[in-house]
Amino acid sequence: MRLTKFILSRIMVWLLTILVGITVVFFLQRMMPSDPIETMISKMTSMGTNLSPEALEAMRESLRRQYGLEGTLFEQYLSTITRLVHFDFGLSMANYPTPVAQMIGQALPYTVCLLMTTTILSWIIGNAIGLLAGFKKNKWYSKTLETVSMCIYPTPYFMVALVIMILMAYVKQWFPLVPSFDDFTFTWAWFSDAVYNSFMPALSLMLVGTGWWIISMKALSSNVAEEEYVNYGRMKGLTEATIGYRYVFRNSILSQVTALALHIGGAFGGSLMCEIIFGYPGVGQMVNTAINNSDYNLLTGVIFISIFAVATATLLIDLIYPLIDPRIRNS
Amino acid sequence: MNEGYKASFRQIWKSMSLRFKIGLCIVAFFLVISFVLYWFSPGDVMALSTYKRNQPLSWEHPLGTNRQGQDIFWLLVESIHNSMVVGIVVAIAATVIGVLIGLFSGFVGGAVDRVIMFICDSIIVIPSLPILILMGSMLRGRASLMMIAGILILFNWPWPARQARSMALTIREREFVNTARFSGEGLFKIVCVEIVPHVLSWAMANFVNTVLVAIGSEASLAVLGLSSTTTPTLGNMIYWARQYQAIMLKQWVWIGSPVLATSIMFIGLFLTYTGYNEYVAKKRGR
Amino acid sequence: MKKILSLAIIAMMLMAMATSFAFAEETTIAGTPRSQTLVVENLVGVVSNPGQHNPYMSGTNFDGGLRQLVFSNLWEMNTIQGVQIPDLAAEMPTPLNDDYTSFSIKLTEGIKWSDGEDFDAEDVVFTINELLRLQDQLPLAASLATHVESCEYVDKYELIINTVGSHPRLAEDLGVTVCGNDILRIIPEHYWKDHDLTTDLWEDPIGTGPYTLTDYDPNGYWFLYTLREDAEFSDIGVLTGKVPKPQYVLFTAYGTEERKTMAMLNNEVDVLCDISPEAWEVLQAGNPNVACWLPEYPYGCFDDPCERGIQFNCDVEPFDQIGVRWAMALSLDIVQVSMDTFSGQMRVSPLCMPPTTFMSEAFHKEMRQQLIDYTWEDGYQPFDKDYALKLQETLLSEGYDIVADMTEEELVDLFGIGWWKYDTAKAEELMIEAGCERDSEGFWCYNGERITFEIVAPSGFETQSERLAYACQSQWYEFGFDVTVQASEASYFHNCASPGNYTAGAWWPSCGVMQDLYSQLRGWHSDYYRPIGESSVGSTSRFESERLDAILDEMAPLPSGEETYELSKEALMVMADEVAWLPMFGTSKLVPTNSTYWTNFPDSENPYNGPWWWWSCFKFIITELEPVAA
Repeated sequence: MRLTKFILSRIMVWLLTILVGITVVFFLQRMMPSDPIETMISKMTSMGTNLSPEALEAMRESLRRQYGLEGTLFEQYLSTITRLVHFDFGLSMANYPTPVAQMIGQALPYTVCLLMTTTILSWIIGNAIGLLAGFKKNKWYSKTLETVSMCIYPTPYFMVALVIMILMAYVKQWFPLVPSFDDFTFTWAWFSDAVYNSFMPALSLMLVGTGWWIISMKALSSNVAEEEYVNYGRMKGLTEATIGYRYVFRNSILSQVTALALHIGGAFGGSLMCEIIFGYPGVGQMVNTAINNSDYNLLTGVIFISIFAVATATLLIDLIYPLIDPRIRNS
Repeated sequence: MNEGYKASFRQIWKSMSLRFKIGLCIVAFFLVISFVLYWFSPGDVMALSTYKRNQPLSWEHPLGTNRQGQDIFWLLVESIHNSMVVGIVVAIAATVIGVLIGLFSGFVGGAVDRVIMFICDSIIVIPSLPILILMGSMLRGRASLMMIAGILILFNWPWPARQARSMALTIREREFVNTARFSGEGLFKIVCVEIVPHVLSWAMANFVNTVLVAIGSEASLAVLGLSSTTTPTLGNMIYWARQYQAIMLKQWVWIGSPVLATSIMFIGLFLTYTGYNEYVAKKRGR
Repeated sequence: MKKILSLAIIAMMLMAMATSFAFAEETTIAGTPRSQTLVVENLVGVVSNPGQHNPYMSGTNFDGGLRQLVFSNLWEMNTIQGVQIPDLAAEMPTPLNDDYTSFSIKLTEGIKWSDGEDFDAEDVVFTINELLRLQDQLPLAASLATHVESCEYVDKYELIINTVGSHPRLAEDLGVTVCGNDILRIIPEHYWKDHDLTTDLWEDPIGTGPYTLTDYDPNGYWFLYTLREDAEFSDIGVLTGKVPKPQYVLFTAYGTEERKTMAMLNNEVDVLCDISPEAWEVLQAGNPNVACWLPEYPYGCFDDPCERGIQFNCDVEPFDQIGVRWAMALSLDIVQVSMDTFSGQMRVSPLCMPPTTFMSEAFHKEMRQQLIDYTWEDGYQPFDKDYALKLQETLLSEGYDIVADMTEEELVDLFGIGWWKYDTAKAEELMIEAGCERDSEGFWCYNGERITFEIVAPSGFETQSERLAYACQSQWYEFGFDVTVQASEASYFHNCASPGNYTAGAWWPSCGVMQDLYSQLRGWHSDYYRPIGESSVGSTSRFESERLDAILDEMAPLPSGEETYELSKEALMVMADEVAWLPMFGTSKLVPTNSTYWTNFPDSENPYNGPWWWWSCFKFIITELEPVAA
């Protein structure tokens, strides 16, 4: 019963998140000071061509028809929701007539792969180190590790990214300045090429991400390590490894799973910065382009998909939670 | 009386961990810069060509001047001031709004509570940076720092609200609240007199953390050139230095000073945050 | 578990690095041999729809090589001499009547499309007729239909175009003057007769230029063009008799300026399009093979055909008054503006036309005496001819010794003929005359209200205009205007101008490359005027002048010649006198080239063409490049 309720409420939050997201984005972008049609026209005429007022009006009308900007605001809102629920984002305005879904389909896998790999890896590595540092908190290496992560974690992300880029792509030309990916094929060559091209962005995200997990895991596990039952276990003659795993790890990892769910949104934000700095071809890059072009449809699409993806990832992690938490699992 | 305060202060200071002390010192240092030193600033620090360009460090210009003919030292001071103000405003507003809504929700309970919590949960999940970028680009130029602060408040109140609510739930059932309720005191008064002091220690920690988050978010926006470009903030200073290729031209003071200031300030705030939490936990344990 | 994992990661990394080192040495990002590839920066950056090449779809990106290498225009521009030259057309259009409404056009014989078909009049006639048929559906076609009434096939290499109204400058409308042509792009009949121009993406475009698009990054980061096997039958081959030497041309997006700079320092790219003076300083110090237009300070090329400055909205009070606009000019210390913007690396111009090499000879130097003599009714002479000398002085004080030995004449040639005086006393007088006064804090007020305004400036692109805005803002603020800069991304920036939602903007509202300025100036005619809120393309400043109208009306029916040249000068003088907008500098482009793999790039000592890699004239440059490696 408790499990069902738990799952239902999670799904409710998931739905509501998506709806709130759509609404915020829709009204925000209609408030934007720029009009995509004027942008398009300015672009076309910025080369020094002077159009007569009649030609201009003709052009404007034809663009308005193309872009589906007709009807009242409320009608546009309703139709936006209906379309989004069907994953129909319309055609890109700046790259007319490419479908937005196609453009996102091109970019999203890159972001998802990058984010998933780095988030999971840094979660595992960070928690492992944090566990060690918390469990053995008086050892010199624990203190060093914690101090180092304390200094890396608060450093502004873009600086970490820039330093990595300058060191690894310019001073030492280990990695390419412009990441380039071929169309996906299931071969070792493609895979190694992809790892090679996304190494720098991944490293920067992991450095920053790992820091936080080390710090939080260390705090959690050092608290647990001082509990009575840990001492009791020692007296019972259990090995340190058993104590570490059975008591400390099992008890601190629960809240780290919850924390991971809450962390996804922030990590996504980090990957946006990362993609813009490294020129990585994911949705962050696409948000950037869409804003510069006043591409309403693309923006709606990208941000809807981002919210959808983050909400879904959060939901999935939340649903894993009962599997590892005996209190919910057994009720 | 005065002596007594001094003694208790000394005692508190002694019981703090080293980490907490370092954090507090760093934060105090930055507070002095942004609210005392700031008032000695010589006029409009953003004005171009006020001084000769690219001057080295000297007594007159402690950090030299940059390619735009601005004094880096005073630019940095004003940047720290503005970033700090954004952080503090956001933190105060978000914490106060969050705590009030959370307490309200926790005490009223029922459908209202559920609706508020659903809204909180969904705002917590929504990735804020894409929306911040969107808003930033929308309001750019017209956006004063305070508008950006407003946006940040919007995304930072649900977290304290959630925490305050769960506290309210536990506190609600405690003896003294029931006593107060039976003795006929109003809900508002109960909240103010009985509950707030309990929540306060947690809210302090959240406050420090929100300052950190707000300064960081504004800096991220500013580095992308999406904050107000004519108001100096730490992120903005980095943005301008990058516009003038300070990294490739090896003008380390210009690009390095805001980066270093941000990092140290963040470390300070972070140490204060964790140190304070430890301190409270230890006191409670005692 | 942990150990295995970390070992696996390290192994993966090493392997990835090993595989990449194996080929990173000599090949480009597209896998072609570096020594046979010319690598050019793609000015527009990453293209989100790299598979779309239909030239009439509004979202097609044309700057990533299609305009430069694949497609051709009827008439091209000789940017050095300021005249149009034939390309697909064999000669300039021949008018068939005295009203200039019907023209005969002869085409160049012997050009073939890249799939081997002959290029002939059928293609041109088909293109025009197809556009006229689709004018309701294609925005570009709608614009063509305002110029062209109909088109007739005469024989394989001749056709007749009938225009809407009189068009004495047909070649300027349908050919290239600046950058490219936006309304007529000739397409092959044999492909498009079976395809729909409104829906087909044309993934493998067929062109008449010397290269074909052979590969592109699915994410739009690069585009690879390969030399046609029959390049002697491309338009360039037929016209010049030469075949370009680079086997491949690669257009790549680099993103931030830091990345561009690093790429050129590492010899990854041969040509960058537009960088800041700071980036140039880095390049110059870091790579001996990198060169710019001029071998010495100020390095950049001043021949880009657009004039930069600040444009005021003439419908916004008090800037509707000519006196106030003059006060804005006189309250600027233009030497300081130049230093703040691009460290003095610009050529100044008080006229609404850019001081390019060609235009300076035609207008600026020609009119310098006229400007010196220019006197207001009250006897005041606003022109200051000593700009170049003053700039020299400032530069010397900053340690630029290179300008020490220059004569006055050389300085004027380099930095411009002069600008308006820096005379705050006169500006003050003009402001008070216009009904403005200072408030208690020293800010200017009009009608009892403080004059508060923003300068709209491009943010993150067009660095020169962006910095110009901040430089002017700083000085106007000092003079007592409550002015800020509104940094705007591209869409907002472009959106302000047309409906007039701005007070001041750092734009480049007039461009010019020829002696006859009618095509460029006609937008300033009050016919194009629209009140604020309605869109206007020509008259974004909402400027209206009866004197200018009269001159433009006189020019309209005349073919280019001595008469239009004289009228053009008159028009410029009127625009300066009434401050149609506040022109300041020509565009200064730092367009660095890297001679590690290719040499003979055009520069000031060998100016066979301008360094305009994003223009269609690129295909005339590429035939001249020589490989370094044997």
